[in-house]
Amino acid sequence: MGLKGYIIRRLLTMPILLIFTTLFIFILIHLAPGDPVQIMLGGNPTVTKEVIDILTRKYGLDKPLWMQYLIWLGNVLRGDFGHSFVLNAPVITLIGERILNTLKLTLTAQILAICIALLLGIIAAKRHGTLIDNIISALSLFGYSMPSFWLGLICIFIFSLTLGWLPSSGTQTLGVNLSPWEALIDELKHMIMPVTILALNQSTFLFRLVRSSMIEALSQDYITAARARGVSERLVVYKHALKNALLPVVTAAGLNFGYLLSGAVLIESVFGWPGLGRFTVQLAFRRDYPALLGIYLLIAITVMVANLITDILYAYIDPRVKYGD
Amino acid sequence: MKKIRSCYGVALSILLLSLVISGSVKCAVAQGEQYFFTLSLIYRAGDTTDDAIAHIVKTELAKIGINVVLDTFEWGTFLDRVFFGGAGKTYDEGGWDMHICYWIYDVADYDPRSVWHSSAISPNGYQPYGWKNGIADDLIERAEKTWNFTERGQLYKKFQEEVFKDHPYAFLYIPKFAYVMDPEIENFEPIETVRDLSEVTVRGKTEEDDITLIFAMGADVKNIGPVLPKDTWTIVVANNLYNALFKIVYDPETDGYKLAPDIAESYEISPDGLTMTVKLRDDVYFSDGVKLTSKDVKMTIDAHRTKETGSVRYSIVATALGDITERPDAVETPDDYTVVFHFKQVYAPFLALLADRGEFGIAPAHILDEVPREEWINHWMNTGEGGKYPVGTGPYKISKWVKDEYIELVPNEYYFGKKPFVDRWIIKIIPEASTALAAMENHEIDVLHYQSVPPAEVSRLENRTDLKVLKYLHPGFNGIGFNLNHPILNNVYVRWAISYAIPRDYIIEKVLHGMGASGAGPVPPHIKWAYNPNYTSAQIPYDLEKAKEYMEKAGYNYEWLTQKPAPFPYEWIAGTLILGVAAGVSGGYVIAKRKIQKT
Repeated sequence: MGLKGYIIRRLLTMPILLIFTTLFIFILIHLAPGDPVQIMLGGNPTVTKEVIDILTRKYGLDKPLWMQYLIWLGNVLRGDFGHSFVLNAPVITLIGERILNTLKLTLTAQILAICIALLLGIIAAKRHGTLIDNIISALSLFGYSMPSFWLGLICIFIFSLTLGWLPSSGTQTLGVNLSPWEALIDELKHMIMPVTILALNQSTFLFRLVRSSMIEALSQDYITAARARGVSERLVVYKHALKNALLPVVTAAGLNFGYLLSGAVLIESVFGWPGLGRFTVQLAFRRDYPALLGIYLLIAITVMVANLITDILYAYIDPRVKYGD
Repeated sequence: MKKIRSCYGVALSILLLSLVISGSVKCAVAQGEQYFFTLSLIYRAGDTTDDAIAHIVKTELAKIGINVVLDTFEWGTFLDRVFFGGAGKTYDEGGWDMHICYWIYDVADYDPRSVWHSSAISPNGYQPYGWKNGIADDLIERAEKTWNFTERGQLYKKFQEEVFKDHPYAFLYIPKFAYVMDPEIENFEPIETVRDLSEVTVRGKTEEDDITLIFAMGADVKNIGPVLPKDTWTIVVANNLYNALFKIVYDPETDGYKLAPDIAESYEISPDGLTMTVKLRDDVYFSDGVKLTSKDVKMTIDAHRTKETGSVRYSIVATALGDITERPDAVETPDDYTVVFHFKQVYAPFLALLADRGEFGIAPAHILDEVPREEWINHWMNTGEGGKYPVGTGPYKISKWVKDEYIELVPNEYYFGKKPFVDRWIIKIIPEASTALAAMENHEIDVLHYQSVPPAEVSRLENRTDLKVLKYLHPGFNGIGFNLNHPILNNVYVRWAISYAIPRDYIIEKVLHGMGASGAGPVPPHIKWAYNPNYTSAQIPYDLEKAKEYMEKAGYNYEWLTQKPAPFPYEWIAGTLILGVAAGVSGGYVIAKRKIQKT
């Protein structure tokens, strides 16, 4: 009952939070100097002020800011997320065309990252203070400090240009006819580099979490007690310690969800991956207000839902957590 | 206690010593850094070429007593500072003093009004310099009033002389760009408004072969429909989907470019210049099989003079033919294959627009006539929404478009011209230039757009036998614009002094790695009939003595400058004082602690 009430309360506060979030983003976007119409037409010297004025009116940019926000909010409530200035298409369509690509990349990377982090984190924690632990920790620090953009280019240089093993960019080989099976293999091949680099970047951070919480868990009295009772080491590590050590990892993974959607901007750019992250950057440069707001709204909703799910998961993983009065 | 005091004594002497040394160093440096005045130079953030040029300019101008402060802005902000919000204002007022910016032209025609005429001074137009020159204005106006290219050319050559003499802009160079492609690809025209992908051939292949070529560029297309504004990426695709009344072709006779008929079979201008009768071909079909008639032509031209459509050519078309509400019958269609233009006045720059396949490509009236003009921008013809792609008369049509990833072009079976040699073009989007170049070197793609080829890489790529590098002179120029509203830059001698202090050849060789050419002026050299080779950047050598001469003409005295005492370095000394105190105190603390520990 407590949990149900808690969920309902959280869901009810969400719209208020969303209004504040979008208002904040709206102000932030408009604080950036530059007028979208001028950027749209900029560089074309034959445009007259008349045309600029018509477009400004057309996009509602002549209205005061507060009214622009209220109009946008009203439209969103009616299910209309607006029309992109730059691409002249409904924002929802534009997001829909790209979100799958981003999820393909980031979800795979996230799963891979969690696997790597758990595996290495447990090994490092079990052998805490040994040479293996030091080596893994040093490597993770190295991976964490490596800019993903640079790593991407280096990987393209090695695996595409020098060795010729992997394609340098895109999601598929163009201009060839492939059977469904071959097409799948082809797509996986295109995913290897971007997914691995993204996963490495994510896993280094998660690894440090897993390692430290496992070390802490393994030093607890209940572990000593379990060992004293003669429980096998495997069971001690994977059942008793890991379950408790997972809490911070779940939190981190939940918080990362927004990042999953906004995508790995740099990786998408380097590997020519047609996802949301790359798209958002293009829109920001062009001050495409409606499209940007639409994307941020989506991200905000996702983060909130993901956090809620994380909190609920807590209750299952950790029986000490109780929600409600 | 005594020992501690002596330690602070040591610290104090360190502090004083550092103060004396730094002060004298600063004074010595300041002695060589004497300026008459300070100007700002703004440019686009992230542009490494402009950044390098800006630093060279700063160093060189220091030699003639001008201090230059560099500042960069992201593109949108830069535009706003130069052309809109900051127009006419100095840097300190939120505008600019000098800016680096390049201009790209078309080769079809020359129209200086929007960039050089005093009526176009920003924020009303794209003349940010605030340049008012009655002679130049008059030359521009007179050239607009004749359809005769030779006559216009003479006037533009004189106009070019005026720009040169008055120097509102220091022309630096004409950009050179390079396409990289497979060595077997032939007949690939580098000038994008002239290029026709249907003319591209592949050595060692025949027309019977099934040929697919992948052409990579940096961004997806937008506004692919007719009439609406096209950017450099969109032209690549749009120019192959549509045909205009005319087209631009290379003219080996003049080594320039000229108008040639495309959908038009012939045209005739009345002796008073106010009526133009165009006869159309009668074998032109849209890619959906519907025949093209004069109705389609009328609708397209009229859309450009309807404000609501959002055409960026509105002002030119409305000047020539009048706004649609004002002169609804300016374009007449006496029969299906004749179009008559009744001009409001002779306005020469209009003619070449009719050769712009991107924006003046003939639109299908059977699809768009019913659609309100302001809705054209959202129509599937323009956005490709719902898997419906633009319908045009060009050699190719879009068969697939995956947004931000690729566009596939296949031959339009109704095309009136020769069947294209290449059966399928895949326009692939690779935003990051380094990745695109890697894909080219790895032969994953066949042609790489010039914007993705960094100038510094060109000579390396030229040494590769498995790649072809197609270098060409791009119509346009790069240089430094002067804000004539600035009290110092208002003086023409100062502008000339700055111009002489810029080492143009050095910039072309070292910064551009040879990917630029001398001879820049307001008219690109491609437009042979209007280009005046006697008044270009090639006539301005790097000459500091001459620069100083001009500074003296402007009233700046170098003797006074060298005798002028260097400003007392207050800020420098204050900074050193703070650092010195910090160093002295911490040094003294450490020494004292050690001594105490020893005792």
